[in-house]
Amino acid sequence: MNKANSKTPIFLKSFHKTKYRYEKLKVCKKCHAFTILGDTTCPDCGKPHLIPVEEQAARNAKHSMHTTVLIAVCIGLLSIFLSNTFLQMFLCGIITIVLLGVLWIVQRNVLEVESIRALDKLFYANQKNVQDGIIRDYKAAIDIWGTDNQRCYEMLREIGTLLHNDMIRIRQLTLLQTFLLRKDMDLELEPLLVRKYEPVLVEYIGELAKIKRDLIKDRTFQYIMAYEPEIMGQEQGRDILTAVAGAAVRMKHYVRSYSGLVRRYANNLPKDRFLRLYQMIDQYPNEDWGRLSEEVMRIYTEKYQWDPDFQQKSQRGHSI
Amino acid sequence: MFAYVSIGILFLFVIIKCIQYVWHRKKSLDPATIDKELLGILNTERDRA
Repeated sequence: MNKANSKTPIFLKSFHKTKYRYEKLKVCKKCHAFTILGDTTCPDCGKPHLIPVEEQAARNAKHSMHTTVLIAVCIGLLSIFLSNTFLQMFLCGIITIVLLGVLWIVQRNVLEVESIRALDKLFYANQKNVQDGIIRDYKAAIDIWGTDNQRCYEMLREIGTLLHNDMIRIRQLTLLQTFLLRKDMDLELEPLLVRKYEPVLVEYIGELAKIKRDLIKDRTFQYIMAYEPEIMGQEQGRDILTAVAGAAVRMKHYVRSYSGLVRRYANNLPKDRFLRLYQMIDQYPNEDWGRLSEEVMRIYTEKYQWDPDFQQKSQRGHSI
Repeated sequence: MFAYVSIGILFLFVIIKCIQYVWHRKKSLDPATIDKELLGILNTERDRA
């Protein structure tokens, strides 16, 4: 059976990217368990008391402020209680109200800063809880491996925002290779780059080079160049390298930075990619392209010299 | 007499708290630092390897 036919067509949920990764975390108001997966129901106690960590931090900050106000009120009341005359009582009451007003105004102005500080405290005091929560989420994702691969991938993708290790990345890549990938899917690449040579990652890069070239950036080119000999030995390795070289043609910066890679596979590039490369080099004749410009000229002479698409360029009188 | 002492304590308490809040504001934590620290908690070198 064809490899593509054995893949499952799916509709992945869109991935919500947050400015800070901790914004993905939620905490249970009751049992203080942390999770990255739950919506409202706590995966630990099963109660619908999950709230975002920022909200919990803001609650903690407000709680601390209310305690301060309460202490101030108590001291104020004590001063009124200890007064000997009505005048003293009146003065103590007025001063207490003024001081409470000042405190309230200052607290209102610093609530945001205190909430951030409370968030830092929350993580520091609950290091073990946060770790346990993420590990519980990871186990929950692995439990549905093989039965609901799409949900499993979506869960691992969420966990992967906080837990950075190659094991999770490889599991995500393995799942992605079982799906029929499409251009409209919410896919990612750079967070999935692993440290070592991984055939499943290379296959994924090869697919993205065909359907979503814009995801292939510097780190991916560097990875491909680092493991080029191993990739060549892989099934369809040359096709993958050619597709990646084709993706590099997308931008002048990539062609210039990875000119060696582009040069080695320029001969196999599809016509549209080679035309783009030819036009780029033609447009910037003074750039230092190394041996790439010679190779492009050689391929042009050999394959496309009489091609009308290339002829239009040649008639303009440019040379490479 | 005790009433004035109490009000004095209240005054000091409020002033100290206000200075503390303003100090926190001046030395405010960057959320990016908290983010980095959280990643540090969850991803030790051993886990990454």
